[in-house]
Amino acid sequence: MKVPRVIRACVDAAIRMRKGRGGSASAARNAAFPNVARLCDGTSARVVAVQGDGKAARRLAAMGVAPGAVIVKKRSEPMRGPVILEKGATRFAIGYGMALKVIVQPLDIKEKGLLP
Amino acid sequence: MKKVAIVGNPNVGKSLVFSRITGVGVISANYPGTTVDVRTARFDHEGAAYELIDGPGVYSLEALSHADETALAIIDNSDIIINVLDATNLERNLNLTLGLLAREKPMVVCLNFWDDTAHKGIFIHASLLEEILGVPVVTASALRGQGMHALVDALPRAAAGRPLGNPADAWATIGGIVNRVQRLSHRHHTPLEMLGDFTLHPVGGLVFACAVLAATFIIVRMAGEALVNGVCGPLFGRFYHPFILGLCGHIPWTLVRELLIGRGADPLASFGMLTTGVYIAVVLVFPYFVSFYLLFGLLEDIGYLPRLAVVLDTFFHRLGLHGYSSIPVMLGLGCKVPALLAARTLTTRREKILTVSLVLMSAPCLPQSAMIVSLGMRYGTAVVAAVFGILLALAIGVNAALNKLTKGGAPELFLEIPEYRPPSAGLMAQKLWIRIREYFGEVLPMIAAGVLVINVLDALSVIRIVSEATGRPVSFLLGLPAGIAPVLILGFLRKDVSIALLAPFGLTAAQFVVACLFMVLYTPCVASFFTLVKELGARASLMVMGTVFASALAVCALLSGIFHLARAWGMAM
Repeated sequence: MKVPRVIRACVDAAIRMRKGRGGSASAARNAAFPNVARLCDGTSARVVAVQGDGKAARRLAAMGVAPGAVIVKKRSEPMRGPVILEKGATRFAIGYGMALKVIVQPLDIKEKGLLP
Repeated sequence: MKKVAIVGNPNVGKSLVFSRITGVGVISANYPGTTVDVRTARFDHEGAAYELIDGPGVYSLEALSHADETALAIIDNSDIIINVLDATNLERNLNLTLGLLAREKPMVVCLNFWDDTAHKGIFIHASLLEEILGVPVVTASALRGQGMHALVDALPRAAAGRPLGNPADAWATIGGIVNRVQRLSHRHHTPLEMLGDFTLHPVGGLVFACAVLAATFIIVRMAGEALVNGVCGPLFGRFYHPFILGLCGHIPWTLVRELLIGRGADPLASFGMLTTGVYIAVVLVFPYFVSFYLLFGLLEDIGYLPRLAVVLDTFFHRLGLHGYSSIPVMLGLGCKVPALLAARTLTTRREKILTVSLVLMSAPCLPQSAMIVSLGMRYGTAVVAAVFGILLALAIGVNAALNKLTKGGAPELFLEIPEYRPPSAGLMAQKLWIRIREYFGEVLPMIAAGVLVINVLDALSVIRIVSEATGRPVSFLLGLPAGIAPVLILGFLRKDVSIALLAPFGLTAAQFVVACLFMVLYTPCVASFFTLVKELGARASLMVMGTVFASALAVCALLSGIFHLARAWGMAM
């Protein structure tokens, strides 16, 4: 689904303005690399870091989402819904808050570009 | 006797392997977390006796939920491990395999879903994998029943595992193994995969979810009604009822006769164990039960439930939960007991309590729903819709309030989304059969007991005393006839029977709505009560039940007040 760039930018700005789910602080810390929630659908990326060391990070590690792994961001559900990732043949959904902690380096940035 | 544990990632078909080897029927479905409990069964092979143990799946050897702890305990207490892998997803599955090998227990590896690898363009060199891992590797398809003999034959050859590579760098070791044993070739999208993409689409998914839920209700209703009117009703009315009346009508002792066949010829109002009891269980509830579980089993086996969980995640976040909680809630439409058990895969205590309260409040279980629909349709569709609508709204309101009032945030969803799989008719039939067997095993004795208790209490005039004691508050608070109090109280035993007991009171539509709401909510039934205590402990259970009871009382009193005022102002209610 193609959404005009302006609308996407507005939506994203609105999301960033709202508090909660700890988005902005971690995003600022890793300004050089985006989190996986910000990637365009269908972009493959290399995991740079998984922030935090709680249950979330351990669960992701058990699925192979650890620094160095290549994943594909399949889709973001609307309204900060879950983010669907693909690692190898496994497809799984992670909550938006968890997706913010997965810092990635997009691999096909020239074709698809980042968001917004 | 050697203990053999079946271990593997969630949703790789462990329960099916268990069922195929032992012949013990278990409920399996296409979503991670179907099995939360431990099942054991004995089997003999070549003169040796084994005990096979099936449990929940784990992604790693770390305990992150109650179900994980169960799985890890099974591994510790076993002599041999059968590690079941999804062959179409070798890389992720090998992570657990490496962890298990490091435990140095005798082990056999089973590459399940082997038949799917061919048309997915995956080629796995199984004997090379066996050489690398150092334990027997068997290819199988538990869904089609292939490879099970080879798997059992391999048990005596089970070799102790040894650690492979550096545990700190497990994924690199796995990458190396996968590169050596697996070749992929290009393939096209199958129609099921395209459906898979569509049902996760932000807009398409939501539309599809609404369509699925609406279709479920319509089909269950229509198929259920067709069964009631076309099969179960006529069979009961033409054959069973005259037969049982003729058989028991000659019993000279009035007390025994009335216990068995009640008074009068109306199967719903006579209140005999063999008349009303059987009528409720077989004619009014069973048809809906069959049609619901047939359809629900199809949704489970295709693999739709995890997708629904993803689509509903944003909504559940507002209730302090994540989308996975929609699976217990969906199960609760059928019966609260498996729904409460399914909450076990949730990780925090807070989300367990919130999910349990949502399961108990959001909708009645199927037998109650069937009775509410059967009786409520006399008043019209609007009345039935009001009962279900108010329940859902109340559940959402109470959960949102609980979420605000208790500390802690919404946990994050973490859910593998399995591929859609074409369901197997044989397995679906087996699953339906297990559920029907459990239904009659539990329901018939309980209904008979309920009817018996009511009759005995009536004979001892306990009912009259209770009515006198509780009649006043009931009629004052809820606006219901005083005589209804004992019926409400006995609902604890078997709620569908209690709803049937409302029939002779000649309630108005408004009273019917209030009575049904109160009956559904005021306590869980005996079976779900014990499950609840087992899962949450006595204190949290009492807290949840107290909350549900208080909100039931408040809402019913409020509604009754509103109806009273409306009547006072001359509106027809």
